[in-house]
Amino acid sequence: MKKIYFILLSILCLAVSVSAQSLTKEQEQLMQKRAAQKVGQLTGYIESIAKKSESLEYRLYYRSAALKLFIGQGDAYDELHIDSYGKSIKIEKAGVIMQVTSLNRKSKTDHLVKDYLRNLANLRYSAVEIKTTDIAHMKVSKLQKVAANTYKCVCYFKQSFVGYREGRPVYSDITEKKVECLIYEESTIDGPEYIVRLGDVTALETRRLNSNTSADDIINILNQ
Amino acid sequence: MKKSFFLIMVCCLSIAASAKSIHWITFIDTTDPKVGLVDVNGRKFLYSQWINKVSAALAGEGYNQKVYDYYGTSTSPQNCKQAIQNFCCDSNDIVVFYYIGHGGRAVADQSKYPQMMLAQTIDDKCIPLTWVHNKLKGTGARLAVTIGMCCNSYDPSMSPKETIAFNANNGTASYTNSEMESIRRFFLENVGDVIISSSSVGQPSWAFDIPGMNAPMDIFTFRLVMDFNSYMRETSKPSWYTLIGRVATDVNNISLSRARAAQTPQYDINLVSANRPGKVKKKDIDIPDRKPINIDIKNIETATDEVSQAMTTVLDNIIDTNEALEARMRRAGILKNRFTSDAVVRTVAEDSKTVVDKMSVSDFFDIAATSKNYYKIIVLSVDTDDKGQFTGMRVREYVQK
Repeated sequence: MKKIYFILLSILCLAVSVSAQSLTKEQEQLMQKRAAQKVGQLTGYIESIAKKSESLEYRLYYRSAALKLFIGQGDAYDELHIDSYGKSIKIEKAGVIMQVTSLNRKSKTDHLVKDYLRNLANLRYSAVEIKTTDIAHMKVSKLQKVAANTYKCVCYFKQSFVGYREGRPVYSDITEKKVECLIYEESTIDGPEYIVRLGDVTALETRRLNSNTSADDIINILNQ
Repeated sequence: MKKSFFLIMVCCLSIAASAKSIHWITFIDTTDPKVGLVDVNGRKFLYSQWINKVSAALAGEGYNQKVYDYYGTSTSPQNCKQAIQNFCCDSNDIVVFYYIGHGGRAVADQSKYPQMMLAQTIDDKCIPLTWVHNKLKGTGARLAVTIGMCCNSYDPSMSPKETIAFNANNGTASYTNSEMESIRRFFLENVGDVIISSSSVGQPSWAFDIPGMNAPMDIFTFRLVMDFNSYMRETSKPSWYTLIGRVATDVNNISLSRARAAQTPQYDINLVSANRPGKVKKKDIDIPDRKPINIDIKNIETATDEVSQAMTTVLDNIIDTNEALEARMRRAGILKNRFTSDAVVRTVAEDSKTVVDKMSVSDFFDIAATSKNYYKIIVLSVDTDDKGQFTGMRVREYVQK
């Protein structure tokens, strides 16, 4: 009896852990594309927020709009998961996390995305240039069901950062990042509708970028 | 002398200040019992993969999109004659006419181009493709393109026509910057006219099953759109001759292998290179009032009604990164106030039916007014309550980067 119970439990765990898909292949591709577009909007905002040539007032407008791309608009939210018994559980989160790295620090630092974007607008460089992977070159994972009517995919991109003081580049790096994208499904009389919001951003690897690297070469690296 | 010079200057200024438009006039026979479903697919594909994309590329050069989308029961010779005879445009405008449906040719037809049946079979009412083309050339548009996707086979019941034989009856729809720039070059750095038909004299036009579609589609529209998109991705100096030549070869190869019969698109290209027209300052336009109407949301490929088209034009101004941020946000604020506080904007995918995102109208306009990522946002439909306030909107977004 114990053996049968164990086998049944194992099958249940296996069934839950496998990415349970009720989306068609075409729908999945559409959602992956939308997720990449949202990440592209975010990276566009990051570039704009960091650009010192625009006024701080404008850059804070960009920050305010960028937060609308995220779960909970960057504020506290409840994250839903399915446990190994198939039960929905809720985890309270203080807000979406943006992980930051630096060649000058060994460890990675987590910031609430609303704080990260504010800090980005106030960096102590005379100029900052950030470039990121084009949407067309972003890699997006398959969708995985993580809760009732909720899917997740991960979008990968690279970001180059060059900080200037008095016209000279004093810091430059290139970081590979991944973003969790949550896709919520709502049933309507016209069929399912989806909502895409961005979640935590994790820094995977950071390496030095040669300050002599040309703009074209940077773009080539970002789009590999 | 001074007075006439002054008048000439005023006219020139008026012309320079007027907005530029790309006009899409499509007549698609979606009700035919034999090929209706084929043409439904053709229409969806054409709008989602070509028309809206080209409009998105040209929006960056200040071109508004104007769509005259005739399908279903609105596809008729009377409507076609009326639409073409009444069409007018400015000298910097581009006009593209596209027909998908039945066609044929009389034994004694002089022109190599077919006549269009436009969802009926009475010979007297068929319209020659060349008639449409000559009319559109005569409007003075910067670029006039006429495309007919139909059979060009001999039909003994047809008689040759150079002009319309009947009287009009006034009764009875993620890209890279380089790709979009190629599209702009293709449409904006050539002036003149182009006429294309999907098959040569005596040939039918074929439809086959296309992977991923639930019904067959005509191979000409499929190859035109697919070859256009791949060509724009691979070249920075696009040529009409190269593209249409490629389409003709591909279509012929497919028809020979699938139907064991030749189908060779034919064309005449009369173009010269030109500089792009200069950008003009954006003008604010009003969104007209509208009573609630029933909208078939499953068949909307692009903005066609007055409110949706006006909304699309205002959104062109809101997303324009050449405009100051304050101006963009001001326009967005004005438009937000036309909506109820709980209004939702739905973003529709290229398949024309899947809602891939939703957000409040306030968040949507905040992002539209501040993002630097949009080529174009096309409003597909606007919902209205009985007080005339807008309660929701469906859009398709074209995002760059």
